[in-house]
Amino acid sequence: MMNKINPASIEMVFFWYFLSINVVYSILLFLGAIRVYQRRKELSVEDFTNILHSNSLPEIAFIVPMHNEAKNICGCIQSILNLTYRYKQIIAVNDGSKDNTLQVLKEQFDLVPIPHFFAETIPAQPVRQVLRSRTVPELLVIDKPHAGKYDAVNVGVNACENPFFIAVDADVFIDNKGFEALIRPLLAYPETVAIGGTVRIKNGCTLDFNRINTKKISFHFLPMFQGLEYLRSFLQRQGWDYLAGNFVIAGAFSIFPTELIRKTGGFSSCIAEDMEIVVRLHRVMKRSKIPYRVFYLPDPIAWTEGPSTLGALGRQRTRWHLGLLETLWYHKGMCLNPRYGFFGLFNYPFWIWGEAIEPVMEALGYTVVLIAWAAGLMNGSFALLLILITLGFAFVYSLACLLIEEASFRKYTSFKTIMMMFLLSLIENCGYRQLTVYWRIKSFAQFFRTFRQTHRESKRLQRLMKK
Amino acid sequence: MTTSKKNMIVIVDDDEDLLRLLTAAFIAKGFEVKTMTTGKEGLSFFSDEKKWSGAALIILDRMLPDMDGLDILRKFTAKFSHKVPVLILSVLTSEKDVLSGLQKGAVDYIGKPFSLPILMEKALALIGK
Amino acid sequence: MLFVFCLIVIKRIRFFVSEKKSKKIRHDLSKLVGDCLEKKRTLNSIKLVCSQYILLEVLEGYNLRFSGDDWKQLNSLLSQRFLLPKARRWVKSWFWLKRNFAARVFALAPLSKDESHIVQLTQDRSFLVRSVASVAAVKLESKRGVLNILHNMHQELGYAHVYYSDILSQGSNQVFNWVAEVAAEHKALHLVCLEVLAGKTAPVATPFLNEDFQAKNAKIRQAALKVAIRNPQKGNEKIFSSCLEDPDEEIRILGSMGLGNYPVKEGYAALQKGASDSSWKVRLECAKSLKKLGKIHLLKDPEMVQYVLEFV
Repeated sequence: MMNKINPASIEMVFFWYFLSINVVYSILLFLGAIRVYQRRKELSVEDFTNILHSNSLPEIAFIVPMHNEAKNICGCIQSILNLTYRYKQIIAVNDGSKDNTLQVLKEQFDLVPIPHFFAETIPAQPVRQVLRSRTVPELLVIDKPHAGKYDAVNVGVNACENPFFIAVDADVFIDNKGFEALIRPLLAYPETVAIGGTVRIKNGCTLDFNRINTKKISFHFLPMFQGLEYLRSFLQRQGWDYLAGNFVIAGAFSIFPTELIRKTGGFSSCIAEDMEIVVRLHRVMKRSKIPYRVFYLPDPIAWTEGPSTLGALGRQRTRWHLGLLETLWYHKGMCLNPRYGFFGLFNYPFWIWGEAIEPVMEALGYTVVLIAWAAGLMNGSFALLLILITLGFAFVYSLACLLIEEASFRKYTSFKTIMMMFLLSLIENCGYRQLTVYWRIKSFAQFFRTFRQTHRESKRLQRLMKK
Repeated sequence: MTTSKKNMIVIVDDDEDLLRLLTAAFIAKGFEVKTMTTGKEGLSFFSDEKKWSGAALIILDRMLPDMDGLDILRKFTAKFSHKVPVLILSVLTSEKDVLSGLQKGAVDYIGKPFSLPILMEKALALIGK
Repeated sequence: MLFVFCLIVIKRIRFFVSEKKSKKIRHDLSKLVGDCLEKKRTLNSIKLVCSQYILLEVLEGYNLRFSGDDWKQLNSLLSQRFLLPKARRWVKSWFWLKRNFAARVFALAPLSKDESHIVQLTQDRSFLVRSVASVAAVKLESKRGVLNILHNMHQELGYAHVYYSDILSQGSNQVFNWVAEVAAEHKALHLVCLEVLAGKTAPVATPFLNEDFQAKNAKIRQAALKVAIRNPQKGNEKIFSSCLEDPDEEIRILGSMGLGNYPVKEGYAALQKGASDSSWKVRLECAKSLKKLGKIHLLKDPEMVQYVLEFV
């Protein structure tokens, strides 16, 4: 059978596949680097003191969904309060925590019950209680039964009276410098429907009042690998801004106009609700032919805790990939549909081609190479070329990202940290990358297992969008 | 035993250039000046009443590197009131901020940029009271 | 790989050395300016041995700290001697960074003879140049500059709009008088002028407000009410009372806020009625106004009373 199947043609399939996606990533890196360069120039002359003097800037709400976050929640709320931006409200939604999250908040912030003043514009679980802090009047806490992050954020959106809200995870630190730099781009374009902030891994980092301090960053290999991944992916997202907009915005820190999210029906129960809402916004805005913008800021604003065990990391990556598959299924009508412009004709198909099926192709690639080697059919020079084009490219890509980080934001001030990342980019492709491939492939099994549920949700979203 | 005249000005501000100029201005008027550049130093200083018992005036900045100056005021306002006037000196001059400072117990709230001669006159008037 | 490693190491060393040097220069320059302010040194003893960008940053830093006559004089002399010549040359530069430098220098020390440059920069293609030039125009009290800012405010939405509004609100009474003049003369700029006038309390004649309260355009009505809230006038309480009957929620909210400035019987009655409005926001504003007027006992809703006493 091996003689009937031409090994060379199988090899070429993988070669062209990986070459095609790497060309796109290279273009994204190049565009991302330009964006970072332009942003640095702007930041070098921008004066942020007007933010401190202003009486006219709009109030921004921070919606913090919490589920069993007793350990992190006070630090997160305090980090938001410490931001120098004066006009803010914090809406912390307790999503049926089983630990003493609510009790901790009551003690720390002297919460008292207040009237339930908001309407249920987006259908959500009924609210048990609404509380406000006596000592920090801008803090609102809503208690509700457990239904998931998406439901908690929807309740927060219902309660939000501000033109913008920022959905923030409870384990996130917000860096004040990054946040100040966000205000002008946030408000600059009224047609903005979503803004993503660059997220970095904070394991080991501390928050000095309102500035992130990376001197004690964890040198454990897992958080460092994740730090590298975040560096790469957030730089790519700058590139996507030039190519008809981003497909996803990090749920750890994302900004939306309140009224628009209410009109589009709020967040869905998709596992990657942050990705799904962004794609839905693209779809709705394109259908309505309303000019809009979805963009990413290159400034590192939010710092999140990355999983520090292989098990937790694996579950997270499986979940993310499952979310991608679900989102692609929900909005499959956009794929190669000229009605959705460049987003439908290029971005969407690329996310299927270059992201969704990539782990499958990579796993098949390893399998084919192994079988070919075992059967003595392996073309040595071609195998080397394949390795260069996959693992070699990934290594060079990581180095380029590190160089761009060094030349721009320089958030990793310690030389030791940058050298560690440099060394880890070497060994990342010898085991860690293969693990991520395995975790992502697992998500396919889950996707097919829960397909009926996914399909039902897809129908519900279609009906919602028709409205 | 005679009570010592309150002759000390305590300034908490992370701006070293400003501290230098204010220190020189108050020393020229015959005061002793104690300066701190972080909130932690301020909290530690004010937690020992003996250290600031000779203070005639406290000047607090808001935007300290490790906390809001109002947090210091909030913590010690019960101890300060009627003993030593507190003046806030800050770049945060929106209406909300000024009201917040005055409500927390500051006797006056001066926005940056400010006129140094006017600040000195206000300070001397507060000390005189 | 070795190349990248060497590049990172070289970059780090260069950055470390240049940061240290730049910090020392800034510190020395800052001390020099401080000494001049304390009159320990004269201006003639200063020789500029660093980049003008650093001097500009140091002077901007001092400008954020001090505003007295001594500082203004010193600032003006230093700017004229070391910065303005370059700023005037760079007004027409192709590079936005250079034009931004020029705008920053003019904002630091605006002079009448540079008015035409400042006005030109308020129409620059880059927001980071226009915005800074607007600060200069308002400081200089340039009528042409103020008019350009109002035009920009009309055309640019979002952050720019808020920024210009704040800058104009920080202007003198003369600037406000011009804004009121423009509001009366330019229909297209009427709304943005109202937004600026609502930014602070200022003794400015606004006879057009009476017409604006009846305007068909809801935004103009809202903006006019905000101006009236900021600048309470005798007789406006009837207008605010009538707002509480309006079908538009925003108008009712503004009406409730406005009545908080009028301790009159008719006002209390209107607020009491508004306290049973279908909208929470209107009820809350009525309660706040009643509390402000010392009439919280007129509220029938105990939950609202407790909320207002606790949090307002």
